[in-house]
Amino acid sequence: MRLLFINNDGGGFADEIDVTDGLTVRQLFEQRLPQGQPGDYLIRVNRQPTTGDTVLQPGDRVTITPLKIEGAFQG
Amino acid sequence: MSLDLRTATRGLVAIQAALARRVSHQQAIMLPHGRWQRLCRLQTHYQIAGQRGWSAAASHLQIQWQQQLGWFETDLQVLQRRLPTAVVPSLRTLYDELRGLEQEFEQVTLDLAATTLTVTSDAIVLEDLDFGPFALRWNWERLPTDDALTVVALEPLRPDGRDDLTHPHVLDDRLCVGDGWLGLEAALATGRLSDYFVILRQVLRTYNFDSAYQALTHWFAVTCHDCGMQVTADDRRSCARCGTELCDSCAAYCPDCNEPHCHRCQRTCDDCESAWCRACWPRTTGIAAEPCPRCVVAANSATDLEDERDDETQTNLAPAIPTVEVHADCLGEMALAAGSGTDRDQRFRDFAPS
Ligand SMILES: [Zn+2]
Ligand SMILES: [Zn+2]
Ligand SMILES: [Zn+2]
Ligand SMILES: [Zn+2]
Repeated sequence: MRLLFINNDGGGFADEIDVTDGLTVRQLFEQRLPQGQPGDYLIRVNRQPTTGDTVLQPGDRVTITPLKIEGAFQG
Repeated sequence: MSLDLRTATRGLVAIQAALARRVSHQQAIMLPHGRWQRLCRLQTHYQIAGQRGWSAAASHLQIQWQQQLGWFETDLQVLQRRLPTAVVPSLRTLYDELRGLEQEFEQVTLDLAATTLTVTSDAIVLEDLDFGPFALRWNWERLPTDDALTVVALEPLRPDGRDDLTHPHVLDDRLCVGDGWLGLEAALATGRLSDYFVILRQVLRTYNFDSAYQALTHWFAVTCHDCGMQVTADDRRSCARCGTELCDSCAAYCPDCNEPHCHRCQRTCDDCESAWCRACWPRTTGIAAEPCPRCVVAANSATDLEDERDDETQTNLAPAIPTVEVHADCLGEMALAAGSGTDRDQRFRDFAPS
């Protein structure tokens, strides 16, 4: 099935991706951010809060945003 | 949704038009010429500094060059990302984004007259300092100028003497988004308004001590009135007389009352160099070089000692005068007990051999 996966960590890439049916939010996270800790990110499915066990549906829009994004002093 | 549909629709139509203008504006490709020229200039200066043996200048220029190179890389990434992905979102997408915003933030308002979409964050707490909630005010008509966003503290917690700072990364209501920049660009390029504001909120919730306008440890620092140094809350002193804030090295402790005093509120004795407060040593004589009360006492004691010695030499001639035993460590008391020098001079004269 196809999903829209948006990673706001760094570049804000938005990709249409193919995943296996029955994939959960946690499994998708582990696939896409193998070095990351889910607790360090806000994860939304179709702009709604979600849980790791949620089974993804075709056409879902999954957004991952880091909790910590460092600001600076000029810009 | 809590925004009424009519307002929301009119607002979203205006936002869609503004985003469309932004897309067409960006499609006029702007290569980072300015950055490239800066890099070339820095390289020339670096070579000149190297040839002349100016090592400090050379290393400074090298740091600047590396910074500019990093920015050049970012410029190129942004360019690459902007062009193929910038799309005008549909009204349906924007409507879903607005609903997403209402999920994330308690307050979302659209002001059609002011052309602003404003979301209010919860209270931002960084290392136990509560900066209160912030209003993230986005003026879609200002999108092409990159000046669309103001970040206004609703219950500001400002450092002493700084009206412009409300957060380690907010100066004059502008948030310096640092690492959030690319994500924000990408979110706007595809009209992902909820991601845009969520990224901003996460920047507000993060403290980057390496590049803060003011470090949190110095948020309540004050400037020493006498030397201009920054002093943290724990190290600051205030003048007991006028209340001025001071650093520890500028606070002079009066030897009598032991309270700290600023430069204006103290007097330094020319003889012993101790700094007295003006309450404990009021100016009485108007003589600039007047000694402090302690030096006066010590001087009187010394006079007394001399007088007593003289008196002792006179005892054979005047046995009726009582002698006073003198110890160095009770000079002060003796000076007080022995009365004024004038009296004793008088006594000496009375018993002097004729
Ligand atoms: Zn000072
Ligand atoms: Zn003072
Ligand atoms: Zn005093
Ligand atoms: Zn003195």
